[in-house]
Amino acid sequence: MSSRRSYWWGLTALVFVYALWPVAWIISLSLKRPEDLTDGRFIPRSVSWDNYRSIFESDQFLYALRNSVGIALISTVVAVTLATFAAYAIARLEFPGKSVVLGGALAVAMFPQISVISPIFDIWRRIGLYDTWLGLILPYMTFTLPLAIWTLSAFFREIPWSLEQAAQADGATPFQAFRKVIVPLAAPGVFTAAILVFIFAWNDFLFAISLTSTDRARTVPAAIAFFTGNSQFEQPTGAIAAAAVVVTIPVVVAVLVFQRRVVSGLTSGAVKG
Amino acid sequence: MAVIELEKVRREFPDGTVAVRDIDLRIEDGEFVILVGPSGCGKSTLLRMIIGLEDVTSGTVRIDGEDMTDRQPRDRNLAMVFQDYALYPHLTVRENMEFPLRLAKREQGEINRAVDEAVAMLEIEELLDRKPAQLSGGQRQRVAMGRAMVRQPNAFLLDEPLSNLDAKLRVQMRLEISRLQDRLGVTTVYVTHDQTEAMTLGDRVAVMRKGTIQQIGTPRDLYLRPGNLFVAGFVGSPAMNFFPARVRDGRVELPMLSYDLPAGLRELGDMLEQRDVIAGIRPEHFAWIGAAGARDADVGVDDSDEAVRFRARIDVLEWLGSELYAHFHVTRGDRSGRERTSLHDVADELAEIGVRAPEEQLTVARIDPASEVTEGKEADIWLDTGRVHFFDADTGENLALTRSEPAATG
Repeated sequence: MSSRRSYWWGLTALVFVYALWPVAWIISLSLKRPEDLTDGRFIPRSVSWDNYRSIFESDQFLYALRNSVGIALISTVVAVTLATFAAYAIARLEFPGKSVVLGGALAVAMFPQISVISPIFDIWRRIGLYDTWLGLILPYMTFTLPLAIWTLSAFFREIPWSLEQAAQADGATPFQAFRKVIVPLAAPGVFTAAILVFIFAWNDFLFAISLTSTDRARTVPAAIAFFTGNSQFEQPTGAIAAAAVVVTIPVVVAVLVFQRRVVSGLTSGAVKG
Repeated sequence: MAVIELEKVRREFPDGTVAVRDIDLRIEDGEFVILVGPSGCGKSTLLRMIIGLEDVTSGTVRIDGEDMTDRQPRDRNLAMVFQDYALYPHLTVRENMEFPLRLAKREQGEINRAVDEAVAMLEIEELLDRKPAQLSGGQRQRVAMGRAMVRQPNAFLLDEPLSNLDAKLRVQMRLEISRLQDRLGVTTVYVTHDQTEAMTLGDRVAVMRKGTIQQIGTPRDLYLRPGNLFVAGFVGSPAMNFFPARVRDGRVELPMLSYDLPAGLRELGDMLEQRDVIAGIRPEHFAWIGAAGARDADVGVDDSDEAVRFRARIDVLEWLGSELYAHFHVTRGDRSGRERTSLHDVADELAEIGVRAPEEQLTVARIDPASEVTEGKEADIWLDTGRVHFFDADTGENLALTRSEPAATG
């Protein structure tokens, strides 16, 4: 029993170190002074917040952060809203072409993004979406909707029909029944979908680097690539590390917050008798 | 309070199956009506059409004279209790019960008053802050009733509300529902597949089969004067025994005996002789005859002219304390040559509800528990021939009902 336990702890520690070691290094780098960057020490000789101060003083990073937050949130809200309606229809209604819709959605999700980048680049240039928020929100939604729809329709299918019918018998309109009974019950699914969309939009580098050219719409992952040192003799390593840490925090927070909702939603659901 | 009228109501599904076939039904104000039948007979569909959860293909649904056929459920002010209770899992018991009132935008004071009243009546005070997942089956059942009661609906519609409860609780809730309905006096339509529930609860019972109402009447009516084979087999427990029979020259020939057509049926003689008939005998219309030749005291009627006896070998005895059921085989003889079409039709459905087809000929008799009958031995069995029903072997109709019959006793 105890050897089995220590085995588990050992394994857990191994996975933990494997996953978090690079993150620890980045944090370490971000806290070093410029002259200590190449000293090879894991624990910084002296902790300095200069790197953080410098990125928050640069317009480039602040604009990128604003773009990232705005684009990721809008993509998430719009995609999840659309996916909720679509998934509800797929779970509850029989309509011609239902399997085509589901299959098509899956095909979209499987499509290699790199293969559509050049055409999108050309189209966006022509219709004026290049280097705009909408220009990024559209592809993010397109690539995350299928997954959101699949996740949500699985949740909706678990909710008994009779609950909506009970709501209607209790005097609700179909939309009230959907909003007051079905959506709260599918909340864990909604949060799961939201987290997936948000992480995709937040972490994306490919679309961001290809479809933006200025601070108007460039998001943090793309902006980091354009970091330069204060002079041509200075490496931007410290600033990049600090930016990388800052950009990680919202994702970690979002996952922790949503995860709690997801788990509590799953356990209190208990629809079945 | 409401009168519910259904006129030629029909429900066809897109694939062409007809769930409900042009049903006419009028449910009076304050009446407790049961829709009963085997699964797939359309009883639930009919109920859902009344509340508007199911589209009506053709026909009219009227509530208090107003045409509601195409109206939304929320315009009908009917309350429904679902088989799985359909409590909202994310809301507490109190919130569940408030839900219909909040939708109706009632004032908070009024909401509290209505909920408190229902809670007191159902004795669920201590459950108010719990979530449905923390309730037992019986408690959920009560909360579902409470949610239906709070907004004082025109009628209650209950869809197999007791079928998820264990047997003991079911009996208790059955009584409670009956008491509640008496007290509230609200029109109630109740769907069940259980004939005991139907017979004990309803003012009137509608027996359904294949989307039609086979017969509607008081439980007593259905039991004493079943309109056809199906109703006869469905109502009563243990079920009625069926035998292939023939009437020749004023005598009834059953597989185990023959006797003169009783006085009450003589005028039917010609009609009976012209066709194949199926005789239906309820278990309690048999009796055991003791060694002294006196039949046991269990039988109410003692018109000895209409009583005949035969011998049978008892296969199995079932002793239930207050009752004793004797099972015995009847040799068929040569009378069952022809295909019994109507019986064949209903045999499968009857089998589903536990009634044996007559071909098997295992007969059940309810006899006095004090009888000295033993398994494996022959016994003298007495038959109350005045209570034998005759059904047309082709159509299944009760042939005696073609004329008006005076109400039978007991």
